[in-house]
Amino acid sequence: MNTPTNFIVIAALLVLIIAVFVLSRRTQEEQFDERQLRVRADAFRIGFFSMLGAVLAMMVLFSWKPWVDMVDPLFTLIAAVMISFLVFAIYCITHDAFFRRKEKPASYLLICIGVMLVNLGAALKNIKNGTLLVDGKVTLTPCGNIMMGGTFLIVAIVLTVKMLADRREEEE
Amino acid sequence: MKNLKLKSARAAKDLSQEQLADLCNVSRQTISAIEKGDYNPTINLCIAICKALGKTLDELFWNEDNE
Repeated sequence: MNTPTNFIVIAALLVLIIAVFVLSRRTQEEQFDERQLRVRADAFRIGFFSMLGAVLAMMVLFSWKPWVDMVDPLFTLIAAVMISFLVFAIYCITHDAFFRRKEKPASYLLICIGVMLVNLGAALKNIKNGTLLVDGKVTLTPCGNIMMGGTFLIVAIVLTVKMLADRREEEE
Repeated sequence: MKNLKLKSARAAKDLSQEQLADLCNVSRQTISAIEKGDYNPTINLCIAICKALGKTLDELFWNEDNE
């Protein structure tokens, strides 16, 4: 690795360490409660096995020659990670364990919509310019935008439905 | 099995699920899940709920059917 790459990796690690330190210093009001922790443990287990399943499915797909010619391995690997994230997020959202106590889902929803719009916008631009495929192959750089946009679109839809259901339950 | 004793004790104190949840440091959905019988709380949470509602463990969580 050259010097700028080293610097970026070290800076990213520092940001990660600081973020973990700051997030772990939340007050009791901002913690997950005991039921949420149990649900999140289940969600993590299901998400982990979903990723293993997705990776296995992709290994089978890569034994098929036309698939190898069509799709980049890195794209499928990131797709497996996205699938496990989606499983984890949807399980947590539907079981009321995605947000800590007193956390507002609306701000997360806005972030999801923002990330979705940026990624789908970039994907649309690539489609318009005819640069979505690289040498006729689905690769991470242009097609990753569709994957990210799609992932956050699904999370945003599930969040919206859950927020509406919660509001109706609170009114009752 | 639904915990109707908890629901009625909360209603008697004129507390909403959100208010009881705040007193017990849990989310509203957790109180809702306990009342619906979807979640079995730990003894620590049972004690916190009892203290918040001024009831004993027997009064809120003892099920006569188990005797």
